Amino acid sequence: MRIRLSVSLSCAVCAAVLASGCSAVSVPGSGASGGPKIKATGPLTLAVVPKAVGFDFWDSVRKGAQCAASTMTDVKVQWDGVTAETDVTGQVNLLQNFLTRQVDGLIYAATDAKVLAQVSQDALSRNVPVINIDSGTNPQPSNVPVFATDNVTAARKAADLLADALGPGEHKVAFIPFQPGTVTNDQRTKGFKEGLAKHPNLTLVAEQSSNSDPNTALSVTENILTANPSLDGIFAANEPGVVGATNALNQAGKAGKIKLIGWDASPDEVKGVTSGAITALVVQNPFRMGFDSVNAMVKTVRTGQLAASEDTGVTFVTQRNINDPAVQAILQPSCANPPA
Amino acid sequence: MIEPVLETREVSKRYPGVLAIDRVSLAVEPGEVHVIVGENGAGKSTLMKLLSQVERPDEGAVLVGGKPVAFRGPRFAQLVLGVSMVHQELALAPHLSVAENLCLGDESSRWGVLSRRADRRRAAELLSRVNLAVDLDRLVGTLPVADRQRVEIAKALHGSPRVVIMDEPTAMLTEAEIGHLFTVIADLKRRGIAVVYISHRLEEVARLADRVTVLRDGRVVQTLPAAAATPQRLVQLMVGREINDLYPKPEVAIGQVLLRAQGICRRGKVVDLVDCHVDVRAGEIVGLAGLVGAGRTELARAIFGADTPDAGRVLLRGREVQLRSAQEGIAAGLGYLTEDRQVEGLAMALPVDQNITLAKVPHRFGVIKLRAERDTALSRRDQLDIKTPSIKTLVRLLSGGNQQKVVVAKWLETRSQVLFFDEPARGVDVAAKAEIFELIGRLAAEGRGIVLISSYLPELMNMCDRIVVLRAGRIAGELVREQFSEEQIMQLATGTGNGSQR
Amino acid sequence: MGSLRHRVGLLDAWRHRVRSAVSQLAAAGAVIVLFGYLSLASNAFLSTTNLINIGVQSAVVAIIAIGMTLVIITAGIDLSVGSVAALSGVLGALLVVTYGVAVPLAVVGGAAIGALAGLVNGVLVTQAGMAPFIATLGMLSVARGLVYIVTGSVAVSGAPPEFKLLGQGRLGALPIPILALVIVALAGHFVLTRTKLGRYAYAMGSNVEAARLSGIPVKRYLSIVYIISGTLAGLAGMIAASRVNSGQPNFGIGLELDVIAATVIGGASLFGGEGTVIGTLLGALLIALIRNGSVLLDINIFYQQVIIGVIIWIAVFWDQYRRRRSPER
Repeated sequence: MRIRLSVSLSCAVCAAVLASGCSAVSVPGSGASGGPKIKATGPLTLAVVPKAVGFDFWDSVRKGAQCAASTMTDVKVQWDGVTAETDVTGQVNLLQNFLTRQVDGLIYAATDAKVLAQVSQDALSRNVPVINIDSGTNPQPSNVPVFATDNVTAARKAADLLADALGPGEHKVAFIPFQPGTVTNDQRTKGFKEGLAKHPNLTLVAEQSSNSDPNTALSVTENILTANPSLDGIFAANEPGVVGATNALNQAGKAGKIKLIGWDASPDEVKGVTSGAITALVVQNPFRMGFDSVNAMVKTVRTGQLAASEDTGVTFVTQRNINDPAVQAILQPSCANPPA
Repeated sequence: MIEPVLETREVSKRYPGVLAIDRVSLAVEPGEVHVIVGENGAGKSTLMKLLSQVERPDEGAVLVGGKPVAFRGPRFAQLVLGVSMVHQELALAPHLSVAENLCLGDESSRWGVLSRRADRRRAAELLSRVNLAVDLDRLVGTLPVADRQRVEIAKALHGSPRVVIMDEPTAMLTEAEIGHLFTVIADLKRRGIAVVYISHRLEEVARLADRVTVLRDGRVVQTLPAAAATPQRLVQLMVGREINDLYPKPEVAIGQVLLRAQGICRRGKVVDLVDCHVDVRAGEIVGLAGLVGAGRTELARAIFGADTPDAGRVLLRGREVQLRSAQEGIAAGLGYLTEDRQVEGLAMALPVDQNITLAKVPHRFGVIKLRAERDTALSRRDQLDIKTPSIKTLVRLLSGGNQQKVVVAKWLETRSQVLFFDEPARGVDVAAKAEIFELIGRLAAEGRGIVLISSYLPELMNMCDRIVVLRAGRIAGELVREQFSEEQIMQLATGTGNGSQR
Repeated sequence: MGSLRHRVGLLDAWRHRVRSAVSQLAAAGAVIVLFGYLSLASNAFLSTTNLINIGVQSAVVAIIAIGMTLVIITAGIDLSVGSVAALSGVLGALLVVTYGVAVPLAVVGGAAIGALAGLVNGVLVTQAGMAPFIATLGMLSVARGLVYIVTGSVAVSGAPPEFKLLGQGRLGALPIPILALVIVALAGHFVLTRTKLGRYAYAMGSNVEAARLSGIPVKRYLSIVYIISGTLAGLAGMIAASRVNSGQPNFGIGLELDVIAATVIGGASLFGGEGTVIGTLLGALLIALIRNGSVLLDINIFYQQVIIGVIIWIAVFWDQYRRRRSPER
């Protein structure tokens, strides 16, 4: 009896402790233990930081983010970024400046997974909630969700698309990555090579980086064509690479003959699909990255509820489906016509 | 016989293409002032570098106190062997203070932390030995040249020197400053320190030397006691033949006033020019004398137009001209041969012909007429007897005297009527010096006006028809040839005694 | 005595001439060795298409490098060329796409924008008395910023087909970028060797005070030098934009380093007074050959960077070695 009582007492204590612990977790900010502060009303300023300004992709993220903010009152999006995706220090400084200015939430794409992990920690310790878009950190804190494309899966599918376009028989293909050493680049490389492994009839004969510069991509593609006159297909893993490769194929008179699978959807790339120079584009949904992440962030700040990570998905755009309204919504995202 | 404190036995040093020092044996006795003379390229500086361990001899031995020494660099030479060097180009760090410079490379420190107090004490002690009173914290770059040199000598006295080597220490000094320097040298001598002294100025030998060694083409010609070393004898040994007249001044009929500068005023960094007046007549050589900092160069530059004066008028042949830049000065018929050929006068990386035509490139619509340029260069080369392998040879490969002639050629090309020569004989050897003065005389004889700036009074007194003396930016007085004497000029320059006023 | 010095002088002059020839040969030698090696290592290398490609690929860097050579000869530097090229390319494309300006006019406009940037550089250097490094470092940032402001950091695309002419067109068999390079190189060589401007550039770089006292209007000529550098950067920017048929805001980041590398490899001295168009062309060709060969042999891009860096070291070491060996008395 006494024993049982003591057990049940201790259980009650246990439960109380657990409950309080749980409540601290489930309602962030309500306890003294930290976590994001709830700011149920009043103006909010959210910082949205891409890897770099200067590309169509990141501009779509901006449109999505600002669109989300415009549908709500009292939410302001601060958009700022460094000018080169390689400028890791610059991005760290920029984010720290935002923290110093005490923004209510931080949404950013990490230029370097390891280095930026520290910035996320800093933000969390200052009770500023963080969401990663496009690229997360390593380690990824459990309370920082990632809104991104699953690059590995999508790149694996790009290899399938290339194999489909080339058909049966032996084929030589080239791969144009953009920034070896960055997470996104390496994920796409990994996915594409995994995909290639499933198609033994495709041989990878060249792998040369574009340095994310269309003029470099142009020269590199020209040189690859020189070295491999019987090339059958190319996979270029981001926008500048695709733009450069498309120009090289056009100038060599090989547009359409060599199958080009690209990534992203700048106006020039879309034009390439229409003209037949580009076989297919792996199109992410940057608008949704911006849109959904801002909505999720506002919810977290207003209610304390943490958002879950989200695969924002990819669409494969070809000459055949390019005029579908759903595809057009992704290609020309706007607040009036947001993509699904 | 006295044991030499420093000795070389058959040392040689070869540079690419040149045997700079050829089996030289030299003995320096304790407490003597041993002057080394020789023309440019005779090997004086190289020999000093071998003594102070800046360079390693290819052959032969250097002995200190009778024992052959290992080669371990200049720091070893100074601190261990007691052989230190005062460099010609003043090897001090202008952005460091006097105290820091004096202790540079041998700072007192404890566990790597500098001990400022110990350094300052040492610096003050060294400065007192050269009789220089200057703020220890002053940046060396802000000191006048003479003081900087004194700091350099003080630096050489660090350690316990037995021999101090001085490479042309008087090249940049005025008469008065030279006097102070000689006092310091006499003091060193009294303390038993030997001084090895390189000089161009043969007149200094008598005032200073115990013994003189003459170098020519990398070899010792002769070592002789000071008493036997008359300037004439030294020149003969140096050149290998006789030079009759160092200052060949022709008799020239003096004509009209070519240039008149009136009331020139200009605020300057070193000195402010106040109400300066200079006349130069056709065929006349006018000297500008004065101490360093008296404004001689400044006045020449202001008249020429390189630095625009704040007030004053310049008249050429009685007509007023506005000279606001070197360009306008040249267009008006003036030419200015700078004090420092290497720094201001010549484009050293360009060939002879391009330097000759630099101020007046023959061209049509900006396109250079190469043939005209070549013809010009060839005729000036012949006219001035510029010794160069080719007119395409880079100017920096020429000797000092020939470089000077290239500068003269440049100004002849612009048809200058009045030429300013700012220290034309500095760094030029004896034979070339005579040639340059001969050339200056010839230019005057052709009816040009010449303004000659020199710190070396014998040059002015021998070459000039008139000497204008400056003191602190003002004209202190003017002397005509009959009135010339070193005392007169120095009195005007220093403001002691009464010079004749204009 | 005189005759001895005369003989030594002759020897020195001869030595100097041999050395300066060898310094040119160092770049030329590297080009020949690399050319020979690539011919053997890759059977695709010697094709006409590939050789023309190399020419076109080196054109942008080489054209800018010729302007840079002029600047470096004056002992200056122009760090802004990459950004200025991007600004010209973007604004040139914008003129065509948004304002419907005729393409040839837009090309002139692009070059004029470069000239304007060069003028600002020149004024900052000569009138404000800034060190060229600082003045053009500022312009590097300002021009890049303007690019982003004007474009909103999005590429300017949608140009009509004529826009491609400059970068992709051909005159007979000769691609227009190569033609442009040949014209610029000939003009540059002429300017450096035969005109007052070139002569004064060497003189100012060798000894600016001597130049000033010789009556050379130093400020005016220095300004002209920076204007030429800017103009050529603008022209090259238009060629680059035309090659990818769009104005790219991120074009030319770090391009100034390739350009300076080409110039230095070609024997120009950062201390001024030295440099030739031929050397610079060889330098640019060498860099393009390394890039081309690396792709033909499928060498990792990181190694390309190392190779170019090592070649810069060798070139600069050669330059300094030469300087040390030359007699100074």
